[in-house]
Amino acid sequence: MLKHDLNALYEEQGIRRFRPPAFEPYDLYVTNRDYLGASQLITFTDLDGTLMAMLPDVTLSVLRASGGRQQMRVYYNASVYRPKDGHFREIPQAGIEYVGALDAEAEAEVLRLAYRSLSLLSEEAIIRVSDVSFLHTLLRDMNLADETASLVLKLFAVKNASGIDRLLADGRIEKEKAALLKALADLYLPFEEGVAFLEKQSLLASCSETIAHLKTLAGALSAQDAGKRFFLDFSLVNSMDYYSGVLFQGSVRDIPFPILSGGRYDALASRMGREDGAIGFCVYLDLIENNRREASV
Amino acid sequence: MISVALPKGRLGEKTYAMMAAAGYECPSILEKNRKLTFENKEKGIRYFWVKPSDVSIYVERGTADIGVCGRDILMEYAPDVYELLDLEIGACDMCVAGPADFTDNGEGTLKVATKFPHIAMRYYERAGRRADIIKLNGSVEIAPVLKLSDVIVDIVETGSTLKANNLAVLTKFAHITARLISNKVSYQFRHEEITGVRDALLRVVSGETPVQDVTLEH
Repeated sequence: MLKHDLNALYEEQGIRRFRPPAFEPYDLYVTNRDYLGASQLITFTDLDGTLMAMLPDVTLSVLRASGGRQQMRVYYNASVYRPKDGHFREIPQAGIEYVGALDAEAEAEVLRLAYRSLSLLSEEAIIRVSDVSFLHTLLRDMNLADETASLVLKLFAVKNASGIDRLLADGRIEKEKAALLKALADLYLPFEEGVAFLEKQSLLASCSETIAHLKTLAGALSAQDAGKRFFLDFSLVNSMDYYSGVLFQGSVRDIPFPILSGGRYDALASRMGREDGAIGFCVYLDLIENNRREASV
Repeated sequence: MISVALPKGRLGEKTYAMMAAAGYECPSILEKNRKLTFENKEKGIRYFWVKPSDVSIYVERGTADIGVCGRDILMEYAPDVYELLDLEIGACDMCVAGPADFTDNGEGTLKVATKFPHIAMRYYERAGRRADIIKLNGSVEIAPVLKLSDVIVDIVETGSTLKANNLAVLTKFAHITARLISNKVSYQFRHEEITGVRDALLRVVSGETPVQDVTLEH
């Protein structure tokens, strides 16, 4: 069963299991409302009067438990409770979280594990990678009006490269910038090739630090065969608010929705008192169960 | 084999004509028959007809790898799909329409009848205008005539339907055309095939490749 195979995969890497509680103080989620989205929570009052909530998410519990520890590498395989199709449901999720000082090698390790998680399901798996700091730097240095920058991100999200032409025609972007933005909206390249493309763009000189980091990451990934299954793709713009570096999504050929998502969420970790870093991903076991023909999760 | 969801009706016929010109012809689709799907194995393409407002659902769920639907559907339902190309057909405008002499004094709540409640809600929210959005399923023009609403938010092509009901366009706020959409996962695993279709269609849109009109036998 996939659930057990995932556990074995992570244990093999020396990652220990984190068993989240079934509920946490509601306070934890109120202060992180923007991370959770507008989701409703199942709440109840504890015997001492504290308002509690059934876990909508595991990451926050991991961060809460990481206090006082230098490094924490954990995996989980647990249920969360969120609204789905008009009702609260128990939703199975599996994933890993690395909290602590993180270099490109640690990021590569997490990405590789994301790929290996999916390859337990299918030989045909792809992980798409983007970088939030790259996009923020790019848009800031292009000096676009706020509304234009926001439109550009919306176009990136749907890979609408010709929409950039319309912004050019409307006089909202200059010609060379439009050409680059078009190329980035349309970009879908094997990770190493994608980074090589970025390196060649003179208009991206101010992003050289982020690009150098992506290059190191690409090198660390391609050291193993899985390197071929990673693609650079800037259409991953949703959830840009709490991810702060590398951002990724995973899919397998026979399931029409992404079934894995993750990234570096230093901004969220810092809000919970950690100044070093955090990266992780989540596998949506319910989506897999509902969309596979011989589903045995 | 790429699966394409085509919208039933004139827009779908125009789309098929463009696909055929782009090199993805499937002659059996033109025959009078009761088949639901049409394949051209050699070109690696399969077509099927669906209700226009359902195209995005088939594509979002991966039953169709790609499809063609109006920007109005994309704006209203925001399906989680890629929007790869503007086909520049099916052109119309999303408008506020009402009695020709209607003026909004800005007071109270404006009654707005529409088939596009999300589009209408967002429009009035941005305008800072309190609006009572009345969702209808069709023949929206009759609403202000019968005083169900003050105005309507609807797509307008020639404006002849409005004229016939003594209504006029009060504001045009979005231009609508048909778009080529793609399932996000299909895009990843069939990147070359799907961008191949998009690029060939782009040459048709730009006029580089000429199109021949087709009429389907019904």
